[in-house]
Amino acid sequence: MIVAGIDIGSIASKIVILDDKKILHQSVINENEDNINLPDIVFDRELDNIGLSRSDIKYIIATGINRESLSFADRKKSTSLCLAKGAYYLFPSARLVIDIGAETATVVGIGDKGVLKDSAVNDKCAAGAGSFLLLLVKLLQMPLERLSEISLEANGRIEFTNTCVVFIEQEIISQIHRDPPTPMSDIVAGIYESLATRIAGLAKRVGIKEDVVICGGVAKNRGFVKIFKEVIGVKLIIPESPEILPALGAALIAQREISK
Amino acid sequence: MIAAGIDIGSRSAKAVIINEKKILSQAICDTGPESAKIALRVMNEVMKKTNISIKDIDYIVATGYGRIVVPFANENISEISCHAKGINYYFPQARTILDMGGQDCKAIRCDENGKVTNFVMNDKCAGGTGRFIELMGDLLKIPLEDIGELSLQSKDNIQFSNICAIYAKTEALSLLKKGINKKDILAGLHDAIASRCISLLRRVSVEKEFAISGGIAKNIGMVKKLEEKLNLKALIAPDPQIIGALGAACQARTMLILNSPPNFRD
Repeated sequence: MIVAGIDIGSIASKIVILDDKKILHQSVINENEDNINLPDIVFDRELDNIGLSRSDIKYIIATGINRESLSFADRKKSTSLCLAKGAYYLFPSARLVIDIGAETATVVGIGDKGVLKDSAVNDKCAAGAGSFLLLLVKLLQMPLERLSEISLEANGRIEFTNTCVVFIEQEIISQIHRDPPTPMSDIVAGIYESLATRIAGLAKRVGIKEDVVICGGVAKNRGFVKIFKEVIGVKLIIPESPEILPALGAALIAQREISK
Repeated sequence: MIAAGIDIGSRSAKAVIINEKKILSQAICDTGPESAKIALRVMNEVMKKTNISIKDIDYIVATGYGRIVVPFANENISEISCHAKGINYYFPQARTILDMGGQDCKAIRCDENGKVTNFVMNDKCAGGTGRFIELMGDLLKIPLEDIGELSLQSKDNIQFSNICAIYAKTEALSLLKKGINKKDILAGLHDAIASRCISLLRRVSVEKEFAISGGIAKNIGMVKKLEEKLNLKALIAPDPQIIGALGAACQARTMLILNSPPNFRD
């Protein structure tokens, strides 16, 4: 029986299609247009790519911060629940999942058998989410791929005194205009530490228990993950496709729903 | 007796000169990168207006974010105390003050002498500060001085789901793309900022005699929103932006009175 999980995030959407717990297809779609029909178009296109049509999909569960915008889902489930299910499926030893998306950071505690125990979310403040990195892309005019590497070359690390991204922007500008200018690598490393500290604070609210999985788009940033590991002080498991965990979890729940 | 107060804020510098009875002159300049220079500039400006030279001034108190770098000040005092004193000059009845500055926001409680009894401050988050309004002005391409007025023309209040200035910017952009009127977006933003300030105010509890100081008190849209949400009429000084500097000048005057010979006191 074929089911789908769709995660509508603030910047990207993710789709996972399952056939009896086997992943048939997964994709991350970075199309941020304000076209309300876009999910329909994209979903049909994705299905077409793998030779399926809408009628083959028996059940669809939507999740993610903008899940309400998906009109064709059979049910909607919270990101936290889907994260727990997705992470447990890939890593049965996982007890904590840290998902850092563009505008939301979610931390989920997992109990035995993959039940959702506790969760904490930051969707209020850009200083504790991936948008921090988008600021760097803009301000330092550096592509995400380079941002992921540059902090690994840092000799020092700038300590930022502000919390708010708006104020930190000014701090970065004044670092760039120093004489001599602060190395970009040290600025980026400082920003990563600032973000890492905030996410670690969120994780502590749930309770840090190994194994810890880190996912979401930010988990692909090697420089950040290295500093985060140092700040949180535990080993981190990074999934092969870090962005798809909630969509995978949604698809797994869909699978269970129809087998009832 | 001549006393002066100088307030070096994050976005602008203010100076006020007073004598025993009244305000002699006042000036406002934009803050540049060097606080020491701006202090001198605003001081020259305020002295020029009333033909007073620096040697005529008996005592100078500096306040605000850049107060420690004012080379010619006799003393520096926190802006919280100065705002309370400054409001007390115009409105001795005021017991609750909201100071809305360029990069921070403070809720202050004071007594009948303008002495601070309690305060809370937000300097961590740009949501609820002048910086937020500036960002939105840039985004919507509306000059700062027109923002408040325009927001009042809105007929449909948009509810913003975000407090974070960064997220609100994204939200405002997507509303613009959907063809929502700029006035309505502005009204929604003012609403969001007002809510943020009110949660700060509630932490010190709001009394009926309530004043607003700081540059944002010049934004009529913001004042109306706060009044509407609090169901109170706000006390606003003729120029709310100079309240901190005025309070500093009042503190300077008090120092002079306290240190003068007894027969001079009355």
